[in-house]
Amino acid sequence: MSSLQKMAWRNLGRNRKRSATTGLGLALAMSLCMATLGIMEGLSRDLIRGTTEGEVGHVQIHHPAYPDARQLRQTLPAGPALMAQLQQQDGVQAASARMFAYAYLSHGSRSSGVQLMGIDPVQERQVTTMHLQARQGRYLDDEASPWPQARSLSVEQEAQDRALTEAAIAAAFDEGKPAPLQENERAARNAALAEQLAPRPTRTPGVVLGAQLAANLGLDPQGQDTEVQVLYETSQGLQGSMALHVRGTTRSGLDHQDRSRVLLHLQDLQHMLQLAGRAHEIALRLHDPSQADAVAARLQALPMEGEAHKVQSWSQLRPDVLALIAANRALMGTLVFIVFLIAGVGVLNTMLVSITERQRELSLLKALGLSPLHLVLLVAMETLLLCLAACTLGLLVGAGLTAWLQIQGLDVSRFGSFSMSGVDMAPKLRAQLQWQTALVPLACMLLVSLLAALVPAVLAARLTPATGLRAT
Amino acid sequence: MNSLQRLLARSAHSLARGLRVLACAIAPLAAPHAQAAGESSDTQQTAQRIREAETALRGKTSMGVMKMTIKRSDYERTYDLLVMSDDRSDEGKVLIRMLGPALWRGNATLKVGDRISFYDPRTRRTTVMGNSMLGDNWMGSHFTNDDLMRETDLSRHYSYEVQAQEKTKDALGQPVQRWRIQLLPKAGAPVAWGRVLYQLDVGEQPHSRALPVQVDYFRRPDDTAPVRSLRYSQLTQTEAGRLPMRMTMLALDKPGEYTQIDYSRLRFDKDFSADEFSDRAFR
Amino acid sequence: MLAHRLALRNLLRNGRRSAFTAAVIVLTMALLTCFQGLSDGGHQAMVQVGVRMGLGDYILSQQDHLNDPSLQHLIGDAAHVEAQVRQASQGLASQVVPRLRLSAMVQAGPNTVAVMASGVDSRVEEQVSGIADARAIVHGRPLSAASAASHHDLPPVVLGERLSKALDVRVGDRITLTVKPRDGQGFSRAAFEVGGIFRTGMQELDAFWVELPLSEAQKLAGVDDHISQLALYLPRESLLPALQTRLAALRQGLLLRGQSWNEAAPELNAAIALDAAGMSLLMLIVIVVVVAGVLNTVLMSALKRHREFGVMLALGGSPSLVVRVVLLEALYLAGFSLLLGLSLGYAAHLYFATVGLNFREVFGSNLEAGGVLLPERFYSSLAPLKLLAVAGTVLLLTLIVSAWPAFKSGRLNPIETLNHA
Repeated sequence: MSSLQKMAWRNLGRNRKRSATTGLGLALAMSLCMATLGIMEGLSRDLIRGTTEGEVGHVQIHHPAYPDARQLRQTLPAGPALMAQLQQQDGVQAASARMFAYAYLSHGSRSSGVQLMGIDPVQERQVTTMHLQARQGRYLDDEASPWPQARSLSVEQEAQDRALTEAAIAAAFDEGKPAPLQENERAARNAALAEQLAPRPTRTPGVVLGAQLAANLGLDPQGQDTEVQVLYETSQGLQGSMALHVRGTTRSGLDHQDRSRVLLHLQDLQHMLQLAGRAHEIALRLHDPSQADAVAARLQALPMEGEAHKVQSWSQLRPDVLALIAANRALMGTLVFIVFLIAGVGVLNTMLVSITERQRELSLLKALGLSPLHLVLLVAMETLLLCLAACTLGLLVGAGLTAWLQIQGLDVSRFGSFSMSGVDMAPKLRAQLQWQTALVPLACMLLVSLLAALVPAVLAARLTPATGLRAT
Repeated sequence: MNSLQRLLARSAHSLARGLRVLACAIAPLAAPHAQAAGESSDTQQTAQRIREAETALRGKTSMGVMKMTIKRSDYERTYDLLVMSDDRSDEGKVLIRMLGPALWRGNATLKVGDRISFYDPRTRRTTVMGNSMLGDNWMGSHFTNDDLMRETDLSRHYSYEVQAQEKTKDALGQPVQRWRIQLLPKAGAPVAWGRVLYQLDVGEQPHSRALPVQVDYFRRPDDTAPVRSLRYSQLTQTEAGRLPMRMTMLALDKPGEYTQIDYSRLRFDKDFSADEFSDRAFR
Repeated sequence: MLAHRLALRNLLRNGRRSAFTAAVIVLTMALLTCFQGLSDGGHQAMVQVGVRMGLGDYILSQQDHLNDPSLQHLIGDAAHVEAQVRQASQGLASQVVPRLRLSAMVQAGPNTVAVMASGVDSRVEEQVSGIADARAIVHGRPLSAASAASHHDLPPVVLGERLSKALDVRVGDRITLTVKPRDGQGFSRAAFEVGGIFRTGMQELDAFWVELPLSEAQKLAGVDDHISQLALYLPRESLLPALQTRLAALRQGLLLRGQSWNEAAPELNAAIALDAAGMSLLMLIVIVVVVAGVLNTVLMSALKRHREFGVMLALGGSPSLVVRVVLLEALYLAGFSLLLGLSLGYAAHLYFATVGLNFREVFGSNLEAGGVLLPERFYSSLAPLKLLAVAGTVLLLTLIVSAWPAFKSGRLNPIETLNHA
């Protein structure tokens, strides 16, 4: 075998220019294929990232009926233990709990219906890029306002409560107005009971409004630190009003967010709605977004403290973007195929030429006793060695190119603006380096080259030495 | 499509209807329109009886203290309410003040015509609600839009068919004639029920009013099982005559769930001043 | 002339080699053309998704409506405005569609859900919207056909599948829609019959969207001849800037604001732009590979024929002749292949432009979720300028890469080459 190898090397070395050309061509094709696949992967990731990072997240968990009905009481458990458990799950990088409620915000004589969205800024930062939206003023504090602990009434307090109710009923039907002193005393006692059951925060909770909402309410865009009043209904059916402190405004570019969204701390909203430790939605960020469906399926089977839940991946939440990515992948995949094809044909061409040229030489070898099998092996060996050398070079260059594209990216801002979910995306085309991007082209190249080499090799082997020797 | 707008609409309607539910329970609405000429006197008589039954717990003005018990699959709550209504003018006025329990006490909702304002005793703040609030059913009860519009609906939007009239005794042992009336929506009527079955009692005396006994609501005309059933009970002799002091709305599609209203005191035709239906009445 | 004849004859003499190289170029050009068309067509299909989601290529509404989409900011005198817009956009817009949007409560029996109700002109709406057209309807009939089959003599609505489940309604059931009318006296309510149930695959729509006839919506809201928006649909997205210019004056006169689909669906817009960029880059790579292949061939053929060139030079041919022959060989080969490739590609494009490609067949069933909003087929769309640019680039690059071997061949020393055999 080794003599064949030596012969193969020497043959390659003898026609340096040709070997070099073919080799370089192969290497180029190889590296470009890698870059192509890398870009394809990078593009898909960017599209997914743009869709999911803004707000959706890779996977979302809800109470089973929530997506269709959006009732306040359709909640999930979201205590620290559960969140920790979720974050420890395979493939999950971070989890963020959210709560939603509809309320009525007023400032002076202006008012507007709003959607309250309670998030934990610390958790949310790890899952989405909401905190990066264009902003004026400040964002939410990491810490919620301090709320005193709610306590249920003691037995005597309950008796007191009942007495107050009786008194209220009696007073209601009195013809005259009740004595103001008595009224005040009763009111004070009632306030104390109410405060114990549903305490108010010791500091006004801070909120961040959508820019359009702030404008509609007549809030001065420069003057943050304004107070607004919110009217809302708790999960217990209790209506309440509260003052909120406007820390800043955001502009996402998405209509309904800018016009109606109010961001506040999750714990503040939980207390307001009397839904401590609960959430309406848990958004997850995964290490690998392409695994979203698999992770979602796994999480569906997870017992979340015994409560029913529904897990959806981003592709189920945003099927339109999924369609785009699938279409993109299909078309690009075909382009990659073209590249392989061309490269393969190129190699075939080269090898054919090479064999044809060396008919005399090969026939001589045959005449000298080299078996047809060995002849084929010789040619194949040449091809293989050439390919290996070329592919190694191609791998290196390809890896380098992909890495450059991954880190630097290609500026494509002239194609349009890129702002997804209100966050400006850097207008760059990036690649993603993975071992698959090397493996697939490599395997294909080897296969193609071998086939390309074998055909002329077999042809050469069939030549009768006499005919071959006469060729030029 | 804007999810916020959807839910705001929902809330707007729910508050308004919630107010009117309670108001309608004890307050009159504008006198029903005269029946279309050409309807038979039988139909007119039936319509009259239904109207009587519907307005049994109402007067021109009313004031009542009631206990509302709401039982749902995951919770049970009881509220004490004072409801005042004044329908003497075109602007219907309703004031609902919560009397208990502790967290709710002092909360008041005032509706004057189209303007709804809400008072929170803890912040002592009055908020005027233009057209939005939150919540689904009023305080989570089982009363629906249709119940709120019930009087208008049943006397205006349905065609009647008396199915049965039988002699029986009411809860106080008095002999009455129990009517069973089937109501089907008239063409184009803005109602969401396909069929309503109304049972009322008419006393033997010549001028006795009809009293409601049970109202069953069916989704589709050919359904056999009602989805909601409103039952009147606790027939009591009061100064205003015999009245059922308890209304129970059963949610038959959710077994075990109901909303019950018990009147503890009820007074009609008190002469309210305008003040009593204003923000000043909140304190 | 001599150079041309020599070039052509050389090409024909090395039939197999020429054929191979030609094949490479033909194949590449054909596929490139075909994919250019499909890619652009695919993007247009995606734009259609955006258009359908934003519900129009260009939407006109009262100027304050975008900030406050309530009944206070409607387009009045709607029929007249529609006529004016129609006239102004003639030749550009394929459809002008009026709509009235209402926040409403839908009630069926004891169940109530807050929804968005869209009053539409059913005949035209069905042609442009993907929400409640014939394809989307899974039970009953679309709006335009539903009125014919009414049980209760009530006007029809169509609603989403998830909504029908939440309300527990079937086709033929009676529902009511309640809205707060514009001149806010209490609430306005009317009964309707469920004429059809649709499924688009988009959660929001299937759970919270109701469509009803425009006249009924106007009646309900207490507004006559008022609408929320006029949606314009274009046969091609590229006509949008022209439309915007055409309507600018009218818009200002009528105090209307326009919003294009990509402003209404900005994420999809960004996604498509990114995708287009990626495609272009890939095309570039393909071109590079092709040219490399050509280079390889030309180089090899030139290098191989040193003796031949040596003879030519020895026989008195000028170096420039040799250069020209090599260049012309490359040019003829590339030119002919390009032409053939372009033709084949164009033929493929024509096929796909008429027959189209079925989305689902190509991309698999995991697009079920995308549902009905995705167009069933997408069609190839070719921008001739782009194509010619690509062809021109390949030709130019071919020339450039052939230059070196050509000149190299021209500078050969005849004696040396003849000795080398």
